[in-house]
Amino acid sequence: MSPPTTNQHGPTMDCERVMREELAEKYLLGRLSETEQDAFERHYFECSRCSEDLQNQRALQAELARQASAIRSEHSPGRFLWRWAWAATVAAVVVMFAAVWWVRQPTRPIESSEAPAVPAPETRQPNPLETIPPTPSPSPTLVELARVEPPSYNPPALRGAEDEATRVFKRAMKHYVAKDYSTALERLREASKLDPEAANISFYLGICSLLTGDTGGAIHRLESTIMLGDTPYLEEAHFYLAKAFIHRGDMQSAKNELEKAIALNGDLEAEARELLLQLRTLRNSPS
Amino acid sequence: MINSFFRSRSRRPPEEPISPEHAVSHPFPDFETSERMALAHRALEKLDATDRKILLMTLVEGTKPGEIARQLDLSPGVVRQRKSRAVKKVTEIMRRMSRK
Repeated sequence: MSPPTTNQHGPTMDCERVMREELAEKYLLGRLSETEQDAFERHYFECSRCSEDLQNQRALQAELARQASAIRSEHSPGRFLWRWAWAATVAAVVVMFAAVWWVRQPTRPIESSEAPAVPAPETRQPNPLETIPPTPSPSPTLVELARVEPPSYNPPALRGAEDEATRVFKRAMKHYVAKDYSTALERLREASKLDPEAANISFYLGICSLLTGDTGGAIHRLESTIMLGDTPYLEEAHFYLAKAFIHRGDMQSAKNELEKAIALNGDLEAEARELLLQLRTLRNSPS
Repeated sequence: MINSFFRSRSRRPPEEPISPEHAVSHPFPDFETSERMALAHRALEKLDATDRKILLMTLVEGTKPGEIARQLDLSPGVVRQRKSRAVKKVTEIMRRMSRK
């Protein structure tokens, strides 16, 4: 049924206007002007839909009035509750975004408060060989070849009578494991004074010197280790001595030490061969 | 003449919005009105308590949205919106049920 339009004595009245301006409600509440009321009445007498809506709203009004006491006593959730619900929702969203942000962050260095199991380094020196030096003196390839991956340290499983040098060495190696090479170096020097012939002390003295940028000291300590003869650290001493020579720029000495390491046919043979090959390639390539 | 008869039946005095007491004072509504009130009763059950209060305060007590907002701790805009939606919902339910 098309909505009838009334326009005889006032503004145009149609179903759309009745709905839009909520005229049935205003009519029931007596809030229409005389002109609007006449127009509305003429319309709803001719419009079955608006007439039905008016009757329904009148019945609704009567039913609401009948239930008035019950409706007033009903508990309805106040704004206070909705505020808390809203605040909880916002808090949950913030926590979620913070978690996502935290997960997507790049790896952060462990701060002292985050590493309770390991003593914090007291005077951590920057290791020029652990990272690429900012100075552009050696070519990137050379820097890569000179980079030192600290050899792992595993405490001996067999326990025996410990002398003072061994105890100091063990304390030093706790710092070494914690990558605090400066402190480890100091403790190892103390241990070396107690037992200058100990290959383990001598070898790790050379490694810590290398890792803290004391190339000369590293070469001296590693050569001393090799001089001790056929010790468990002989192969590694040749290999890391080669690294020290690369860092110094003495490629021929480095190659000599790598060849000695390869000749021992130990665990580092393959790595020593690869490094030697890279050094030869480096020497042959045009600079 | 017929028009004047219906007008006199349907028109209410503009100065006096209907009061609950006035509505309850008609204990014997005609059959059609009783049926529609039963439909309204069922339709109102489908609203939440706040919407019923808003309808009571608006359609029966004639309270303005600003005052309803203060009493229910809502904003006047929310009161107007909820009232309009509630009226539409109730009348739609009543229309649908009356055709069954």
